[in-house]
Amino acid sequence: MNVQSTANKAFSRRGFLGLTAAAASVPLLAACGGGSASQGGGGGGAGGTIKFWDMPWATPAYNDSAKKIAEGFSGANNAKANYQIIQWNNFYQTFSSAIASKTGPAVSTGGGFQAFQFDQQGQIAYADKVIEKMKSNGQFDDFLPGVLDPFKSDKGYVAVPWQLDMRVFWYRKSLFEKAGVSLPTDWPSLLEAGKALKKVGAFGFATGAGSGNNYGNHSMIMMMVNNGGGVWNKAGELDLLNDRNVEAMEFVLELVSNGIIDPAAVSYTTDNMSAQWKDGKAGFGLFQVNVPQRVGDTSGDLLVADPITGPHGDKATIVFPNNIMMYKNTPSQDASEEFLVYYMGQLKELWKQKLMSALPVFKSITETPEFANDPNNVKIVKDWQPIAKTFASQGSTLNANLAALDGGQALNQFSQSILTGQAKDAKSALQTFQSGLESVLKK
Amino acid sequence: MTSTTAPSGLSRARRGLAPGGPGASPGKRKSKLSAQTTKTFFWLLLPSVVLLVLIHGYPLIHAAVQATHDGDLLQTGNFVGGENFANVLSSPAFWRAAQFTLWFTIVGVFGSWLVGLGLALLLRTKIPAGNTFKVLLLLPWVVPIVVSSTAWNWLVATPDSLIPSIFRGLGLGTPLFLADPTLASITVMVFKVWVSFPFMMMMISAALASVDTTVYEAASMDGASRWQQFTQITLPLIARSTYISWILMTIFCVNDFPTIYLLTGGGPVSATTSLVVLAYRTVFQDFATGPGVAIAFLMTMTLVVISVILYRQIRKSSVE
Amino acid sequence: MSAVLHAHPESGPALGISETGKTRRVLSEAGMRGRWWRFVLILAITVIVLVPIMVTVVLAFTPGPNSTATGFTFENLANVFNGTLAATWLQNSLVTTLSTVVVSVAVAAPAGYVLSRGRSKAVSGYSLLLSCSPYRSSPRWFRCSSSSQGWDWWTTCWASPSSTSVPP
Repeated sequence: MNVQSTANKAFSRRGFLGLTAAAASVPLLAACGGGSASQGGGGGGAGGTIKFWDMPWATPAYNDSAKKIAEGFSGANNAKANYQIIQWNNFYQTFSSAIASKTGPAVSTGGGFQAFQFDQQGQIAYADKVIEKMKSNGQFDDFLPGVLDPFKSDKGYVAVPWQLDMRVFWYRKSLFEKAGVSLPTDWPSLLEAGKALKKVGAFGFATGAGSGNNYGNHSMIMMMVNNGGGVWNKAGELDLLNDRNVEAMEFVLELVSNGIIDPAAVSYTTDNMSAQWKDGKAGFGLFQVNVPQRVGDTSGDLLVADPITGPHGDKATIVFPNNIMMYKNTPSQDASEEFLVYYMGQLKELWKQKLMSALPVFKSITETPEFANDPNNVKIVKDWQPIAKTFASQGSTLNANLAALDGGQALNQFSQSILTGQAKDAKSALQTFQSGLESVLKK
Repeated sequence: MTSTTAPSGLSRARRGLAPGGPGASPGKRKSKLSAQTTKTFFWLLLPSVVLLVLIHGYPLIHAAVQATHDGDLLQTGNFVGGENFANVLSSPAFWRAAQFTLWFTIVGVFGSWLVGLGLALLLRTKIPAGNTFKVLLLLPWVVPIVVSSTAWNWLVATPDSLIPSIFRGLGLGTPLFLADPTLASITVMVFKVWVSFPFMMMMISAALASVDTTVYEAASMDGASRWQQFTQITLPLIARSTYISWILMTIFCVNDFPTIYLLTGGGPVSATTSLVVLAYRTVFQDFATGPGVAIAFLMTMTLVVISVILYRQIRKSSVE
Repeated sequence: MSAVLHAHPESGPALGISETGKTRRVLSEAGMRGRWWRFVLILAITVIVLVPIMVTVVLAFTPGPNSTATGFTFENLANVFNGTLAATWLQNSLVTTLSTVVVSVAVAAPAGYVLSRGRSKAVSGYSLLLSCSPYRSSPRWFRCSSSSQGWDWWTTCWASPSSTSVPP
């Protein structure tokens, strides 16, 4: 074989492969360049363009409407806003990497405790001026009682609440009539109602703690708080082993042992839970706002119950105040604040279009016909919202540690051990819970 | 072309050189080609090296940093050395997760291999519409895991779901497939086998296709029984593919997150928490990146050891 | 069962070297019966294996909890395209898939050529390194590795918001 011709053939093969390799590098470079293009910004005048990141809080129609509101903003110095949806999946990583690379939003909604987490990193712009502006335009007085306090830190307001994710008791009227029992008003009557509902094939404390379902966790904390207890004391210190918590969990264990809690509930996703409500297996239990619409039963048989009184006369539930926060990385802090005040003023549009499955933070919105026409909504605002406490209970302000509590392994394990009846007793389960939480919080 | 120093034609011929023109000496020509080749190889490998460094190298180094610090997703934190590894190794949750991962992997690998082998053998025989069955039996692997886990949830999650209802109808009680810790573990493993057997079936089918059928005829003539033919001919001839598929399936099982997380979330009460689920929850739910990444490193080292053992087995079976 | 275990492509019991026509006919009939028995077996297995897939299909055409439709309906499919950003997601998936395939093949082809032709220790070592890369465990390293300390350009490329690569 002629070495020269072989070399020629080899070179042409190598040349071809080399060209292929060069072609491969083009998309890589394009991706890097393209990354900056997707970050938005640009446009707008001296006020800049405020990047507003929002989450899919409801159906896509919600995001369409929110986008219209956001992009309808026109502020001083030609300030504009652009809107982007961020999916819940890995949202924390999305925000943290964007903020770290200075490509993040100027204003955003997000996780309930996210503002506190980013405040720890010095990334949050405090909303005190926004609150002042809201005081001067009357919006401040329109807040429902107690919704703003959880966001006040030592340095200022880390965020402004915009909707309340409540946990309230619901019941199915026909099942109670079939069981011949009246609605529970306190813990002993809850136990009795549960036993009666069990006889007609329903469960008197519907919940779920399966994959992605936090209602089981919330049910446990709610019962503690309903008994005047909670995860934290008034000073904000971890205090799981107080007598009220032990008493509350002993009661829940009693519900489990009496079969009042569905033994399969520990594995229920939120879809499974909704199915149990729709199919008439759930007679009474904790859920969110707009259950009839959520589960697909608007016959009027699913109703909000009254709050129940704990053994020591306490009445409480838990609420997750979702909030809007501002970041230091903004083209103009004044424009961010102006946008936030504007957006808060437009929130009623979302409830007027019946796009929200949560409570508004403004009294005026609760008085709109679209909201007030649903008696369940009215009842929640009147009877439940005033007694709602946050996850920080018995403390009054939220903090970054709550992110590790909500959805963390310690709480999941605790709730599931109670719901399966695997917990030896309430005190040891709470001890394990406290140890688990301490190992996460102590760093 | 001539050179005043060119050796005579006879001496050139004795050295195996071509006539006419001195050219370079054989050694020099060979090293010139070799240098050219090396250079070309370098440029051809460069894109993959760059990608490897970007996608694996930097994250690996940063993960090593995180595993030795006590930070979270936003900050690296303080250096703690091997403390995270020590804490993880002394944690009962880690060993429970390791135990479940071991069982999950064993059942996943050998369960899917046995089912895949049986179906591959069956489909290799003449059956009406055999090709159609081959395609249909690939579906569990093809369908996205999110979709199949939703379907499985619908089938087993509540007491009134289809499968528990069938059990109830047969007088076998109402099993809580996802709520009972033992049953949940079994359900997750069965789900994994269901998802994975098509892959094994494909690997084994490809291996069986390369087996010479005359070997069986010869064995039959020698009086070998069916079982002997299977164990002495079929299995050894597909051993290499089998070991490779075991290695791959072991990696898939140990690293499998969605199969477990979507069906049970790692519950109930951590009964189905594998090491990768534990690592995920530690990092993204407890915001403790150090211990979570330490778990992932321990998993990686274990996988490398297992794979080296199995690769040696492959080489051994090739030699034999 | 012996017919199942015997992976002979011509199926059924192996034929002997020399047979009479009658023997051949009897064996052939046995082969046919075995063939149909195997068909029933594989059919049963396939039906059982595909139950979850069939459930998915059935649920896709069953009315949702808030639907007024009854029986078989295309409502869910219509909602996917009208009520969600499915078209955008599909576009994103296609772009991601095509890009990944093109880049993977373009990078892997020359590398594969080198690994198949190269005979040095460096090439063998690199081959071993490449085979170790699947061992990277979840959680995704690059996601949990993104930080504010250096490599910002890299995090910009790879860890910027990608939930909706096409802003609505």
